[in-house]
Amino acid sequence: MMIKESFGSRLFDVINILLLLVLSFSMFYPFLYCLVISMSSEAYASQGGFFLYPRSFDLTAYKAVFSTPHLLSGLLNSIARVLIIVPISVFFTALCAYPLSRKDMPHRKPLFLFVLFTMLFSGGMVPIYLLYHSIGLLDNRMVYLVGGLIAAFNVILVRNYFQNIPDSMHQAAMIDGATEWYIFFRIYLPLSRPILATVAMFQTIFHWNAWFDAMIYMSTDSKIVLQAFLQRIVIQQEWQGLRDIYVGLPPEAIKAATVVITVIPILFVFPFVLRHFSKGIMLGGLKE
Amino acid sequence: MSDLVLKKVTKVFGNSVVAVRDFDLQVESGEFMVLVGPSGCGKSTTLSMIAGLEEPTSGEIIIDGQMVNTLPPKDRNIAMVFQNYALYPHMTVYDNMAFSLKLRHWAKNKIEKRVKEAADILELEEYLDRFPKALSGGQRQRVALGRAIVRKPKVFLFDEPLSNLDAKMRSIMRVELKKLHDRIGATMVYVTHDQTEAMTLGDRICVMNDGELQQLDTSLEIYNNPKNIFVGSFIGSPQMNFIEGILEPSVNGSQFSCDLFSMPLANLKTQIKVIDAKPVTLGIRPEDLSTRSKEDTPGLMKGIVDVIEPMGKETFIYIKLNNHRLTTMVKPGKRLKVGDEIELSIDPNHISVFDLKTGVVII
Repeated sequence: MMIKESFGSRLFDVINILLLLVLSFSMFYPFLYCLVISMSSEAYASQGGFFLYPRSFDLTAYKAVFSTPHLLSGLLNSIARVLIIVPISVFFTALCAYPLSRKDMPHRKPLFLFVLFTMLFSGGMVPIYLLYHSIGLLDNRMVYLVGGLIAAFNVILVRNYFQNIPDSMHQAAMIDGATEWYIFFRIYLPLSRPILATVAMFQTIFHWNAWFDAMIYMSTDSKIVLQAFLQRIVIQQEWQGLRDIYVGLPPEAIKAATVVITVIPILFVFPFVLRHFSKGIMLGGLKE
Repeated sequence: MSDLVLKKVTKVFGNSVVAVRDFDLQVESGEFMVLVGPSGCGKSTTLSMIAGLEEPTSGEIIIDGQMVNTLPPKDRNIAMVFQNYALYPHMTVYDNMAFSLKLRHWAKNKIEKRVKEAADILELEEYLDRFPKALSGGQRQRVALGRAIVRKPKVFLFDEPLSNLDAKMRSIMRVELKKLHDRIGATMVYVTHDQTEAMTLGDRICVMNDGELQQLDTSLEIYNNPKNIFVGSFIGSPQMNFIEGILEPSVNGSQFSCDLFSMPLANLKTQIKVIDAKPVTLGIRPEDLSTRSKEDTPGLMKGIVDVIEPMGKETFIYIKLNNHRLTTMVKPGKRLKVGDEIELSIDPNHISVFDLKTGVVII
């Protein structure tokens, strides 16, 4: 039998939908704006205003951006950074979270507080710079790995997820003859795919968007990542050289094209991660 | 021969929480031993210590003649079935059952043979390729049993394995467990707080409370001759009736007196000599409290029907008598309603008398 909704309830739904549409559009529009501007000719791009579709179709800005020597190296550095560092980072995050999730781990509380401390307080930029300098990480791509290997927040997320796996699962594996390593690799990691996918996505976004470390620690242009390149174009106005080659190309179009190039790859990651989110984990077990 | 022996086993959590105290237990080969008691009585902790999941603070645990206190769980030759099944959700039924054998590096064909044997016993052949999420609660519990029996361990440990099942499935699985025990003849230690499971499954029952052994005996002996008030009240549903009074000497030996009645204890099969009057608690099972009374019946009382609980084959009647509340059972045909006056009498051959102070049985 259909339950008839009251007028108030329907009005509530309509307002909710409208608000969500406005919110979605406010998030989508900046990206659309960049896409439109990047394809617009000088006349439209410099005119400004509200654009929903390109008034002209001009890919010169993309041609110009791709012609710069460091875009491609930046893109490759960013892709390599994500592909190499994210799996390593997720693994070490889980490895750190596992013992912290075990109730029988000696000194678990102080160790956890130690991890938590690093989330709240950092050593500061200068000491970290000096540290990296002393261990030879300046102008070394390893700095991307060392600097962003483990985030305390992610460790806490994974630890909490591990704690929700019934203890009996661990006990059953112990009785079956599994070692802690075996339990970690064959029981906990497979059961934690949703949280590991979440952490992987957080780390992917973090490493893809990171530009500050490249700017501070890298002195060779070919070692910087894509976002540092974007930062140079947008903030440090490094589009001047392109204007000399591509006469009449509006700076807004160059900046917008660079933004689009840096954003598109990361948009492809989300659908791959999404499918892991919806799956529950404790389908074979029950409440503790 | 005893497959499992616990000698003075004690477990203290932190510095002060004593979960199990000086616990002695001897489980014979092929015996079905049930540890029963209320929540927090230490029965699961005891099982965990036997499994090696908890370390005893003191005492000895001996499995198959070997002291295992320092051995890890995998080397104790035990298997355990958990309350929540603890199946690995990402593995098929076959892989769940084969898990422990794979870890012991068994040959593939041997593993297959053993898993199929277990699946045959538990009627799981058609589910071997399924994942646990595609099974019902009863089937999952059977897989958990299968995972235990593939290894043919010396001792099976069950930690409230039927608690997550509905009442119907629980009774089905109870029968299956009993049949499984008869079939494989293994030594089993079974923890439960459900007295029905304890009574029906156990060759012997070990009643625990506050970390201590209260009574260890067969189910009937525990039911008919509880060693203390706790056992009397815990085993049996509805629970035993208790009436406080005085046990005093009389012409024929002794008699029990309380504010409701006086009753000679001359016909008791176990008679004791009472020299001085002493305060006691009289315990009587609801089925031994008769509603068909004659005027000269000893222990005759009158009360008011307070609550009626029809259970089908019998009806529980809760009766108010002065400050007491007693429970009895009647046939369903008996016409009674709340507020009716009812006469009750006690069968002196089926009573227990406990010391009021210590709670220990006297008669």
